[in-house]
Amino acid sequence: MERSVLVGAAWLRWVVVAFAIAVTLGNRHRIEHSGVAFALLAAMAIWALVAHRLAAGDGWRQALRREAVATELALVLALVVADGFVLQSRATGQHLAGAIPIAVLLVAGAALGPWWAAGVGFTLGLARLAAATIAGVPEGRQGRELLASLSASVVWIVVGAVTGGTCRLLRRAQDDLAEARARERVAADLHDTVLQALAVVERRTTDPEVAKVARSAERDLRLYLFGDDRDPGTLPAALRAAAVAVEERWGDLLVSVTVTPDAEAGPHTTRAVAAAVGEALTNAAKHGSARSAVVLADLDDATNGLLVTVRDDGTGFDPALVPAGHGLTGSVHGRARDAGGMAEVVTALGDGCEIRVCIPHPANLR
Amino acid sequence: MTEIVRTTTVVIADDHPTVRAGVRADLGDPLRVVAEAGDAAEAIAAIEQHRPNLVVCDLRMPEGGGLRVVKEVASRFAEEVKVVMFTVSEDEADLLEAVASGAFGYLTKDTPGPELRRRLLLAAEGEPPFSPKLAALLLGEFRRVARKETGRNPLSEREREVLQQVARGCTYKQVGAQLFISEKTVENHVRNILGKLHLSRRAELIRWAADHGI
Repeated sequence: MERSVLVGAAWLRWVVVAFAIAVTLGNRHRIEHSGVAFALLAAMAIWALVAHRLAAGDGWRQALRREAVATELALVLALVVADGFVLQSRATGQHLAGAIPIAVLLVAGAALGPWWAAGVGFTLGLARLAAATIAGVPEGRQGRELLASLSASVVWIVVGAVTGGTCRLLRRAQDDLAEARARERVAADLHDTVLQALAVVERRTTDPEVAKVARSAERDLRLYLFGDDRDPGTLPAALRAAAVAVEERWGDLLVSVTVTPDAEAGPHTTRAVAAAVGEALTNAAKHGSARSAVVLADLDDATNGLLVTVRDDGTGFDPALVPAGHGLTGSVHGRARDAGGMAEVVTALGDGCEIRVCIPHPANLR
Repeated sequence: MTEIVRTTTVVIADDHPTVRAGVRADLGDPLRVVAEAGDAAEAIAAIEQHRPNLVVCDLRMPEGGGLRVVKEVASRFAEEVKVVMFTVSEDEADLLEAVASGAFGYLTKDTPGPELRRRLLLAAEGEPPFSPKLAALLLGEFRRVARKETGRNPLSEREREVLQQVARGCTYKQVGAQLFISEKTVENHVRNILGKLHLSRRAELIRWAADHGI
């Protein structure tokens, strides 16, 4: 991406240098110091060649170094300042360095980011103002000249900032993509080897400590490979994350999470439901001493809403003995209400516990 | 009366030796491992040779994967050999495809050893081993089929209830207790549900073939 900016700047440089040389040639009789002008333009042409070869070659990253940007900036500054005194008459309205700064602004944007590139634009604007002052603008034209300098400065600052900002955004997108690809590759490799091995260890071992370590490693890896930061905030990811968090805290509990493709929810509902599931699972592990729990999120056929159930194999409890608003009833009901739904607890002593969270209407699934 | 415990022959197909060794160690009498296979082709050859009662089969394997094994068995040894998928797969489409192609049941690799043994013994008796995860996937699948086709759910009310309970992690026994039916009836419902998936998928394929002039 930076490379295409460099190559683009290189071609742009050729065009504007050729244009500037043509203009200078055409106006050579009106120019006071045509020697200086041609010397500067020649230097610029040499730089254009060097920069182009750099951008096209294998070592193109060199062109993004501060030294390269500084060299070009120095050249362009010299041209802009020279502009003020080499052109004898400003009546032509032509400028030696009119479009030349654009190339250095593009490169600065790609190499240094939006703020520095805007700074480069600002510096060039100052130079242009200085050039106008050196040249001594004729009486009565000062206002116009000031305006011209100002508008040029603004354009340069904006070009620098926008190029820098766009490059930064593109680079981030590129990095994300590269990371996602790398992860996909790793996932494909690890899925068949390490995950299988961990699953076997977990299943085969008789030592609960070993099983716990293997399980937590498997969950970590699974979360990293397939988990929520690849697809943040979806219902399956949020529920899985809630399950993993509880599993890690209470090593004896194994949670299986399933979300049917019909189960949908927006971020607000997802957050509330995941929190409710987390509470339910914590309760199952802490008070019910459950060893396994199943979380199912599905379309609720009756209301066309979302139905999430958490079922555990723990000791269960007698609902009559828990006062309303305490424990499960308090925490899970509260979360469900946040999402415009309600919760129901089905349990009996010695028979596990099932918690149903129902968010009734599609309109509530935001 | 003395009960004669019938030996159940098993072929294990998985491309990871560790997994094969693990499963082998879990089984033990009366489940007898007659062959191990590291890919689909080996598995099919072993099934041809030994005609086992059960095949414990991974989904992701070289040479066509578990799907190929299931299809081959379904077309050649349908009633004789039961294929139980044993997988860590996250790929739900493959899983449904395997079951629709005639896999007898489906278990995840985190099933504890004794549980695996118990489930396979029951499978040999005719009870499809069925993980909650699969039940939940089937719920979605049937709803999709219903929506696309007649607008009518291909599952009966009872079957849907059974599927919902299993998806929540209930054992067949618990489902039976909840719905006031016997464990055996639950088992029959599950078998019917699998059969319906098999049929609906096949109907879909036939229609697709007709539409495309095949």
